[in-house]
Amino acid sequence: MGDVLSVLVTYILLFLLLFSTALFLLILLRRLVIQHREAVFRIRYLEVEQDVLQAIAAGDISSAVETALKHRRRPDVLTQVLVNFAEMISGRGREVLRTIFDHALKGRFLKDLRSPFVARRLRATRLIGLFSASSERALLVDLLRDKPIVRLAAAAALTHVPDKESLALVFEVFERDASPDIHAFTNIIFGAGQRIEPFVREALAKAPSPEKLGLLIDLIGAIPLRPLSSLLPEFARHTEKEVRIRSAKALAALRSPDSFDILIELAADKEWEVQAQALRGLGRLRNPEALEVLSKGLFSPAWHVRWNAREGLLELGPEGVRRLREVAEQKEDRFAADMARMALETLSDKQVN
Amino acid sequence: MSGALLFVFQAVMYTVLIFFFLVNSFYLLFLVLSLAGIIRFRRLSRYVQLKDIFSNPMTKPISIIAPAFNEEANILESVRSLLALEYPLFEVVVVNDGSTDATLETLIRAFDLKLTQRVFRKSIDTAPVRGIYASNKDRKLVVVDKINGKKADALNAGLNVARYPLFCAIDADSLIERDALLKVVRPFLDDPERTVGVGGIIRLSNGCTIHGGRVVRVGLPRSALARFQVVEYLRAFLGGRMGMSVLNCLLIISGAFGVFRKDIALEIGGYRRDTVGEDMDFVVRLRRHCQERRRPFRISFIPDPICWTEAPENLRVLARQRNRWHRGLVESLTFNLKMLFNPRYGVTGLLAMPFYVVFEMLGPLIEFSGYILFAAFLVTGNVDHPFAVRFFLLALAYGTLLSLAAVMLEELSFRRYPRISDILVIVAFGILENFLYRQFLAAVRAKAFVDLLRGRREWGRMERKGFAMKGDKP
Repeated sequence: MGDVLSVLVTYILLFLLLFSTALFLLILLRRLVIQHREAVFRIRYLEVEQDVLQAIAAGDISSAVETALKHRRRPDVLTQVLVNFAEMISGRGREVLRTIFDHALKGRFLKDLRSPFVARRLRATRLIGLFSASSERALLVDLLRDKPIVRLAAAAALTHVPDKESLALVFEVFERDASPDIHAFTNIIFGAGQRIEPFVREALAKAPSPEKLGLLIDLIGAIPLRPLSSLLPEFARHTEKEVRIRSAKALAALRSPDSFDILIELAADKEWEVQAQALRGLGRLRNPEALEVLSKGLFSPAWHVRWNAREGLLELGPEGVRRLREVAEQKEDRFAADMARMALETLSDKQVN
Repeated sequence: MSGALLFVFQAVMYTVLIFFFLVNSFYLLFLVLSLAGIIRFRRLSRYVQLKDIFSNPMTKPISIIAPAFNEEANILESVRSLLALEYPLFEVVVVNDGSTDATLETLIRAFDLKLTQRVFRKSIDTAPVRGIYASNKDRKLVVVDKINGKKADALNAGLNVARYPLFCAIDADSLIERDALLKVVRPFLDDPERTVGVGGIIRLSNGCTIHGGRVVRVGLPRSALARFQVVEYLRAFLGGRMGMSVLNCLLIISGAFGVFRKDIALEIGGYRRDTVGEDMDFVVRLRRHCQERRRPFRISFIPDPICWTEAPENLRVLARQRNRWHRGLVESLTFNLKMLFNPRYGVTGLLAMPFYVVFEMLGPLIEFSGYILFAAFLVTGNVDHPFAVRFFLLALAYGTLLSLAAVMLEELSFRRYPRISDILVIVAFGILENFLYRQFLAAVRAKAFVDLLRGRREWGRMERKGFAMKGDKP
């Protein structure tokens, strides 16, 4: 047994030594090769960057096409230059970048859209979304059935397409998805801005699940979609707490004087989260009639309600500040007094600064 | 050799051999998984634009909580680096945990702090807070001054004061790269419902050049002790944690840099105060909490967002640090022992916990016992010398292979060490660590059991040079 073990240990030792040596050499060789490649990449990057800059400065399509044709055999460098410029450039310059992309790289990435490798499909989707989503709409639509990470990138790319059909497709995917990634869809749809208004209106009319309804209401407040504000009071009376919270938040964001009554109603909601959002909204309206409701909020057992009431009172101006002083001096509720004192302190900080 | 002694010798030999093969095979498995994880991470991250994360309305604000105890040497550099982070909305909550040096005074002077009446919800019980300071220079900075209650208590105080839905727990002596928060928050954007915690990689700042709270040149430390730790950190983070993250059974997110959901942290009562390994304990309890409630969750490790920390450069301080880490590990695992081999806790109970209990917790004890017995057999002349030499060489080769694999991962991922000579030095120290350094750490960690039995609970002092003193000025 001992002999067998010794032989085994010897062989394993030899294997490990050989493997370690090979790995060590691989690390060194790889590093040398990469350093060389990086040096070459840097030189080529400067060349390509120079030409792209000249094309942008010229601002005409022929210069862009010329640059694209000149550097199409250096796809990695050109892609990196275009991506880096895309972070900084918009308007006419962006059109030049798009032309270069279309003439030098698009064909390659269109092939990658059908690659069996997720990483390639994802990379191609991101780049096409960045430079030329319009003409590839049909392909991007196909990717809406891909894995979640590619699907979301495709949907994000579609929002860059300035036509209604693409947005309709994004909304269709959103409505069809039984359990959509709400946050991801929020990011995507939010990026499309005011253009989504008719789609949100249509989606709201279809009585979506509370989760989807919440997203749509959030968008009304966040973008903001003012023409849809008239729909909010109905949702503010929804049975689902989350929907009421989102409605109060959207109403607060829109700052519409018409929402005063519904916000007063929500400030008396049985859930503290709804109260907190409603008080924030009331403060933003700067309507002195909200003084009593906001003052009452300072005595709430919920910290967030007290916080938002204090913010609301600060927004009201001198009347609110006077009320904060009174609450700070009373002795019955130490939590309300603390919150009021803190608010007054913030005020004095602002005055000092 | 008497029969009984021979039996003991063989039993010990086989136990050590089996343990040795198992532990190294597990490490190798994690390294292979890490390799897959890192390649996938790099491929899927290509062309992701950080400015999109910055301008994304769904990017949640973060409260950075930095507990500080006697950190006057580093505190300014650290806080400046935190305030300069690139992130749409964040606050920096420094918790001065009853420092006996001039930590608070340094902060007050540098940031023009003034005592406020700020009130907060005391969701978690902590040692009394003496005051909350706000900065007239930077509104993002809040300093909580409290009576000393150790690191976990300071983190809990920070959690009470923090305003935002995500919090980033860091050590006040660490430096975070400017875009680290934008990178670490990505899992929270991609999968906001399931992601409850994300950790980033920790690297050693010894030997690096730091300017304006940023690492401007990466280099290897001059101290041999710190160089050993560079190899260890690479192995632990790029090998171990990445591999465990791929299996979704990560049990540790370093206290030096981790981002978590505040609501779930409050649900579990924050950090446990009666342990010196609060970071590991926190993550284990997060997993336990989510699994007991059958809540889908994910705790991830991302190899890219980088936090730089200072490694001890003398044996005494290193021994104290490792002793504390091991006591923390033992405390966390024994506190959550219910999860061990319990299928209710999925891969955590069936793989991660057994791995940590057998190899990480008991490993040093077994290894150290092996050294003692080997020495005893050597003295009594009962050693099979050829076999012992072969076995030692085998251990050396296996250890070297693991270090090389970690270096390979570093090369495949981010290549932070720019020169080839750095790689040669790291590899050399990966070999040299098998002589004395490894044995020293095994002894220190084995001693942690004795300290635990004696009821030792203190942290031990960490002496720091201060970032500004290190490296050449640019």
